[in-house]
Amino acid sequence: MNPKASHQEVAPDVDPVTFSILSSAFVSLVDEMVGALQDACLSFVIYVGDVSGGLLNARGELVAQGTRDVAVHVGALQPSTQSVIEDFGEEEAGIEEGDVFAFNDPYRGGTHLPDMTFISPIFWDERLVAFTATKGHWSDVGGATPGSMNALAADIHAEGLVIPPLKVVSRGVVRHDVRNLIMANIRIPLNATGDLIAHIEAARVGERRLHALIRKYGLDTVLASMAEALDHSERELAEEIRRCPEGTWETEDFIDYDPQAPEDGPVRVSLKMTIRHDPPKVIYDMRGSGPPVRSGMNGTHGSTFGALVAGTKYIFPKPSMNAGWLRIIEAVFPETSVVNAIRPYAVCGEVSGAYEKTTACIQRVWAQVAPQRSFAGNFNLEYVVAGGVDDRPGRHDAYFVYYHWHTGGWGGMYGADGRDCGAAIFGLGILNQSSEVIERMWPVSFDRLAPVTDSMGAGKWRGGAGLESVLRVENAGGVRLSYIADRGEDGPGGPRGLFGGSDGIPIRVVKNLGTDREQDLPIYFADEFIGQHGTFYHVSSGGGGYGDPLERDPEAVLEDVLDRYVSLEGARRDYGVVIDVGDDDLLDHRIDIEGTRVLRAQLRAAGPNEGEQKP
Amino acid sequence: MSGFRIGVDIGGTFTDWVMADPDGGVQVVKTPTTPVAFTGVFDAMDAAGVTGDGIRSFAHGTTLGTNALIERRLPRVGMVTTKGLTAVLTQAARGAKEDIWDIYHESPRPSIVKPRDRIEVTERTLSSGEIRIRLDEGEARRAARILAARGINTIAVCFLHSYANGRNEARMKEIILEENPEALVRTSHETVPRILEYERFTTTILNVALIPLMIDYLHVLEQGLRDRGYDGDVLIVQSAGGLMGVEATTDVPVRTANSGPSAGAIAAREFGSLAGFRNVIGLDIGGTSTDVSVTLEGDVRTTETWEVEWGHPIMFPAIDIITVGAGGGSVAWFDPGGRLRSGPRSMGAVPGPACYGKGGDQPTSTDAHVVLGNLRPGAMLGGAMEVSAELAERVIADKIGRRLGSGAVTAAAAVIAVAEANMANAIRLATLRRGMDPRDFALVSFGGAGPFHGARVAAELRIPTVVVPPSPGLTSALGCLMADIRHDLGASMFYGEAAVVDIAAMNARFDAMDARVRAALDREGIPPARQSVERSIDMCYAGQWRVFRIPVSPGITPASLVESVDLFKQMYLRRFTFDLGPREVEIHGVNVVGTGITEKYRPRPVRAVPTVDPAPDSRPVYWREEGKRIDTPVWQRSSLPVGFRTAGPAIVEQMDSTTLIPPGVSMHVDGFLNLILDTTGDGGGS
Repeated sequence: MNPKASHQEVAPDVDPVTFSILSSAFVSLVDEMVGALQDACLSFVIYVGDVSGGLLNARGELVAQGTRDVAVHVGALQPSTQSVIEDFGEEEAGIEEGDVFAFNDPYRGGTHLPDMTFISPIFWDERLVAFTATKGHWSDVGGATPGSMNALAADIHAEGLVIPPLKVVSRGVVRHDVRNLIMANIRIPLNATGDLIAHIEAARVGERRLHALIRKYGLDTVLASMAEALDHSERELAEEIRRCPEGTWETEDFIDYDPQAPEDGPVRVSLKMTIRHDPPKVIYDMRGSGPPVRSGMNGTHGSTFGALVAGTKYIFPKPSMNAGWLRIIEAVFPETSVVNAIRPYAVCGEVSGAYEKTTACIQRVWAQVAPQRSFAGNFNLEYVVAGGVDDRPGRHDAYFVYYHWHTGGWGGMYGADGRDCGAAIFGLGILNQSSEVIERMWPVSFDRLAPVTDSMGAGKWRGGAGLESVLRVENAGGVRLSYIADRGEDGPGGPRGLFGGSDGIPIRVVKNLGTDREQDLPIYFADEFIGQHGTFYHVSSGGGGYGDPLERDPEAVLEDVLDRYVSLEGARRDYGVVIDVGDDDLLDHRIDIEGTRVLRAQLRAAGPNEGEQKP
Repeated sequence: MSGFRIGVDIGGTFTDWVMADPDGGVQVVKTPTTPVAFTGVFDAMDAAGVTGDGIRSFAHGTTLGTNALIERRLPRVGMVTTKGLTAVLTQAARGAKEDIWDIYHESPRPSIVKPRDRIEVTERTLSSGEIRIRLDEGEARRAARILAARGINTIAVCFLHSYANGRNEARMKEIILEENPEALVRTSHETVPRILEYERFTTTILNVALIPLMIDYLHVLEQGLRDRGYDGDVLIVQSAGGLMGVEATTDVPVRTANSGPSAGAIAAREFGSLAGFRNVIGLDIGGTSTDVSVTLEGDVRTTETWEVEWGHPIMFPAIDIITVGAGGGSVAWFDPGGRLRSGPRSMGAVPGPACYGKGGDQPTSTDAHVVLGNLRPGAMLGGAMEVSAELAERVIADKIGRRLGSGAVTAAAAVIAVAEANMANAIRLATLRRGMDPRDFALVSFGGAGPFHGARVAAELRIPTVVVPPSPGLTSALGCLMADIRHDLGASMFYGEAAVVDIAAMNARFDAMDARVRAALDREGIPPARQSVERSIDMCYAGQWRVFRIPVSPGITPASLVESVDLFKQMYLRRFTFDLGPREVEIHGVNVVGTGITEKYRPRPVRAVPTVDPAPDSRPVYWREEGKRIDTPVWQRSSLPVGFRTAGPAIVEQMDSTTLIPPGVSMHVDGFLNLILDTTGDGGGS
């Protein structure tokens, strides 16, 4: 490409050094906003990373995302901001300097209701030049269950407070009536008020930073760099797509069932991908997907598009994501479906349901095009939300909401095993929550937190191990538990293997395991009462395996046996590796080389494992 | 000869040795780093005729810990932990990713303690400090015997909530020592009594793993110095930028895991300050890596939790340093996509760059510098080494030029451009990503290879000024002589609200920590008049997570605590511009920092004396700014007087380094014999 020609597209000319400084300054501006939000928030969930932010241009197009953002939020900030413009852009005194808008409407670009977005315009010399947005998962936004994660909600109104673009700060002044209306519908208004202040403060940080950049470089240069950032990302992704073959590929996956109609069986999510070179495009067609369900497993247009975008970004991690990047991606949705639910279908569990299935489809469809960039299935995202009254001394009988996500196994990939007990793979910057902090914060404790033997799919590169946990309710009253996951024991199976690798185990959840009050729980439930000292037992899936397990290095299998990731029986059954057992304390086990050779030959003769074969 | 202060910095490639005499004069020795750490140092001492009785103090920056952790040259470590909770370490890096989008980016490596060597015992301590289940002594003994049977003598005891009550951990340690008196055991509460189990356990494990290595290493050093008649203290630079004695270092060696780069950061601050700058970016480029530090308003930026290897946090304060694998020995290569890359693999000192003629067969940055004419071939380091232009040209032409379809010179220029892009990115990470503008800083460029790149990297980032200290290659070693002794202690202590704190208990905890750091300073020979101990409390609003460290005086009273809470609220207001009104303020921890003021090396101003006008040599040098070779003046640094001025293209040579002054950059010599480069002229960049 002629560099002079590309410069002429941008007026005024931005020199490459200034552009490189400003484009990283945009990202650090977002990181700083998110940092300020995490510093000042009161929701523990936001603090440990269920948060994101963006810088958008005056048309509401995404210019920059932060470096630790949550994937689920990706792609949502742009339509959310555009909803604000749609509602207020033409109004008298609609969008003014110092305003902050709250927003969480899932059908207009939001994700699920607890993901509260705060959008703020930035002015310079009375001209609207940009928007900033921060999005954080609040501990509670009302609705039928504590924590607002009600898998059994029949419609959106059972899930919590729906907020269309709503001006909570007008010209720098908080509108108390509006704030009070929000807080009146929320279980822990004190925390929510702190979070609200933190979001407003984050918006101020973003404004100050952008103003400083404009003062230093001039408005024209900053705006030109914002435009160039989009073109630059578009060019980078276009280049990657041109290196892929043209063609069409398809795959599908399933949500276990509609909890309101389990007898209807698994719910289909379907993906057909077309790659074109001229102009470079990736077209995702989801029209084969099933109808919406009467529970919160649906995805909306915004969240499913976010899944397509995030999934693609995993295959092409280098180009930075913004509206220019999005120009390459085209999505075709069925009119109303589980991946494109409309009002009033419920959506709170979308991340476990339609979102997760869509990303799994992306991995699988890209595995056919770029087997060395894709990976086998990951453990399904889960939400554990408990609410009740904290009866510990000094806690003043305060109402609490405790929200947890577990770790689990990642899929095996080309050349490496999946990660053992990793945080949700599409959770991105999310950290596993510290048990010591949880036990200090809330009246709960852990009896167990351990990796699970044989939980992962076998493969030349195995899946990562799943996690087993026992959560115990301590000194607390009226504790109710809600849970949302997918790929449970009653569904079609665990995370899927790739190229001959086997599947990870499905999720299992049990109340009061090992007592006379033991009770198996379904994969989606809400408002399950757990008494004092009652327990919640849970096993998350291991990841799917990648490649034929009989090709796995026997030494690697022995290492896994010594570390209890794989049992002796599993080594024989799944890998055809026979191990001579030595002293259990010394762990001086050895590979029976001849026995392994014979067993592997037998297993090969018996036929390959099921699973998608390499193209 | 007497009264020398000696600083030794052992880097991945070279060992630097400086001797400062009482009048501020400095003698220097530079030798290749030898596999047996101190051979080169002792040889240099003997050669210089320095005996121990002439030495007043000895300070040392070491990469032993860093390298051992990166390369995992560590003993097999066993762990005894709370039954059922073995996933703490399995959830490496607390589940997080270093590059959030790149699944093929290397995951954090697993803990150095393999799952098979994590032995579980029944015990349970609660967050309140209450012991719900006492340690099961039968299981404890069995755990100790299993580890002993496996020949594991280096053991970490890591129980949940031990920061709140370490009794079960302490008992476990006793039992291990009863069963295996040879064992080296550290508990997590004695190592770092702070909340967050993954971070505390990991810190404990890395620390205990380093102890045997550090003991052996310092034993050799101490013995060698004693043999030469030195009977003073041996001080080690720690990651937070202070010094520690041998006893403290062997107790918490993990605190030295960033020792070498920290000495450089201190030196960058000091040399920047001499040249009149309070905002300084330190660019320390050695044979293997580039280390970037930031000094803001005269304070080196530090961090509370850091890591040598991503995902393996160390819960001690440390200077915040960004390291990338870009040094003189960094190997240039092509990635699968055909892009030219540089580092992080380095040829080190042995075999070294191809041009050293010691068997290196990979193209390095140093080879590229020789090809371009930046580095003079022939004798180097006073004849210790011979640099071959022929070998450099051959390896660059064969391994890089052929692939690019170009000659050796163009290929060499590309190798340097790629390496400099990596260095500039490290500075971006250290400044822009943290909300600072590099143009508000001066760049102090040092390390043997720093002055090759300082001007160009500065021009790229529009940093107006570059300071090249008098002995760039020995600056880190001098940094060892510019630090104070420092001991940090801290503990998580939770009080629901500041208003109901058990003040007596807090004061007792403070007094105990105070006595501990003073005892350590006493042992290091610091007289009480040169000791200072600062106390602070970590406070936060109830339900929040960000603590502010509030300084307090000894003998806290209810009234003084109210003042501290007010101070906290003011700091919070300043930082976040709003307050949370009547929300309770909680206390999360107590900290003590003990400082022993040392006699530091201070460069003295040099009076401008009229000298013979220096006359340059010249040689053809390829300048990519001009796209051609230009006959370039080459100045000998020792000949340049205070006030000397020139402009690029030019080269300044000295024993331990070569400074490149590209076209468009001007240079003068300041009163401390620093080279001051001005990049604001035209033509400095593209």
